[in-house]
Amino acid sequence: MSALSDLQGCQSTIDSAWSIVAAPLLAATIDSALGVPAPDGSPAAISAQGDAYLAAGGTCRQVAERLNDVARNKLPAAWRGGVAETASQAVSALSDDATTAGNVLGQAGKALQVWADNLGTAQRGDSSGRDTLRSAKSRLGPLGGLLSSFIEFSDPTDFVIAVEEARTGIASMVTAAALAQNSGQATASLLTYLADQARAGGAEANGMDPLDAVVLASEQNAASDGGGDILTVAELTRASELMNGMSPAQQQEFEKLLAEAKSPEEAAFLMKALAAGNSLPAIERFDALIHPYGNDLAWLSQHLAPDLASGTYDGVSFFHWPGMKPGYGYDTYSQGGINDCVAASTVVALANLDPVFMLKLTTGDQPGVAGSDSVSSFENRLHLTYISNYQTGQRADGDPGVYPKVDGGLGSTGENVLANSDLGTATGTPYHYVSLNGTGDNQAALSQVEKAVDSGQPVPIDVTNGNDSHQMVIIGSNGSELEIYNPWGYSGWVTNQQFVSNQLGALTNSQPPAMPTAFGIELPSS
Amino acid sequence: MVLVPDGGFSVDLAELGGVAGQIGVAYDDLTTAISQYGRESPSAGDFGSQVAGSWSAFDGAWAQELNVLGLATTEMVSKVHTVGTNYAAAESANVRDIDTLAG
Repeated sequence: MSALSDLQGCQSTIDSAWSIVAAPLLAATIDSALGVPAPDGSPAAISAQGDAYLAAGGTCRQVAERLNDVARNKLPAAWRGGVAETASQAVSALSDDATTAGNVLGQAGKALQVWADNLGTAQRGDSSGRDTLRSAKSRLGPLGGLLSSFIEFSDPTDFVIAVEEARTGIASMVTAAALAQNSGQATASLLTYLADQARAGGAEANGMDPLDAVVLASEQNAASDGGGDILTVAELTRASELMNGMSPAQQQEFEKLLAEAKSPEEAAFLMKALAAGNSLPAIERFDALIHPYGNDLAWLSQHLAPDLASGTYDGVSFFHWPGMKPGYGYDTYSQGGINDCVAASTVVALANLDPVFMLKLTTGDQPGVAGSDSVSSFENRLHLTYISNYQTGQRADGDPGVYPKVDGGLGSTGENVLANSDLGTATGTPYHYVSLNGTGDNQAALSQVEKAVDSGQPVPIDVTNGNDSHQMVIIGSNGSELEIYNPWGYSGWVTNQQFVSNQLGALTNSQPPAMPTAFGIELPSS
Repeated sequence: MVLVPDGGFSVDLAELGGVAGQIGVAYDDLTTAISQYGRESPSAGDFGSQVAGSWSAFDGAWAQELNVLGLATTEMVSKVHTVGTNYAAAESANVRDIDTLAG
């Protein structure tokens, strides 16, 4: 129970006290309320730390500007050639990291100042409420109201005043606790999100050269593919750990692949492939396939990373399925008319984690062969993969048959098997099913969901409207909202509050009736 | 791993010295930022029990990130210096070769 819910319970009791008979209960409830801890923390210390972050952030932005000038102007003027371009990219990466530091520290500094203000307001409101409650208690007599239902008050109006003061006092404490809880949660969520923007630090801690760590951490998908970092912090850290665990010979082989990469982006996709659990021979085969396109950032993005923000492949967001009437079809990544939402959401989440898997979907491991990466070829492979995963899940569920004979969707066993075989393998973390039965469960799960997706671990989520159910997958978080991919082929954002209060219907209202209520998630174990 | 090679050609040595100096100034500014970042020394409890854990994780992660950025920046300064030194040495050797041919 939180301080807020404890105080709300006290408030309910105090508000219902209307007769002098209730005086003992009123006194006891006042004692209970006074026993609830006040909002803790030091607004002065928080504010000072916020100021420090703001100052550091401002200086980082100056650093970023200076380095950006070097990368764009001064270095190209002093040094020309292919190696010089690589050096400019490295300085740009330093500038980008300094820019991120400036923005993050600015956001954290402002958030701490708001938290300091709100905490100070909450502490004052709480203190004032406690004073009023103590005054109310004193009016109930020296025995604190224990006997006042049996004896008369010296002045009958004292009880009336005591009740009014108690109501005022508890209301002030409840308001203060609500402000502290809501503002504290928002601050904590934002800091958790911003902590994961520190991308190079984790890789360097695992033995990577600092400059290489900054360069790799800064690599992003091409803007045409919706942008976004190629490597999450967790992927960069995991890849660094896996490199450390290699034999010296394997480490040398992998470093050779990185060193011979045509671009930092190609190197970043190799690191991502390693983080997704692929073996060194598999990564070498993968690199042999993508290396001819190592300088073509648009090609790398299109073939190695699904664009879940816009749901397009090769610029196509709506695919006319063969055999359907003109104008009829589905969104490019959609599960279509098959009840394989669990498989479709899990497969797409895996494609988002593993560029080796995505390359197989987009090219059949035959890049350069005419038609191998056409939209229809991609669609065909994607849907065959959805179906094969669906059938695996059906067998795990013990269904009497598999698709196309049986098409009733998957149960929790099949869902968990797919989460572990696909996402567990790619993230190195086992998944377990967590049942959600109302807003309390959702609230308790929220921080774990945020932590997981901030670490690059997608979280499958089951939703229902009471009759129908569906699986989607949470793929992102920005501290106050969650990004959820719907296997109908698109992504959307919901606020943390909408997640907590089961207001997720907007994500599925394209096929009414919408399914607003979360009833389960697959959570990674760490 | 070598993503940033140590050598190169077509260098204006005077300009390159200026580049190294600019990156060095950026590093000096970065050390100022690191000092500003660490000038307070609150305890996690000062942030309230709800926020303490998140703040600790944030503060540790960004202290490390700024440190790595500083190390990476000095590494870049060093690489640019190395390029300049290598190129100057190559240029001197070329001049000696030409002198020999002329002699």
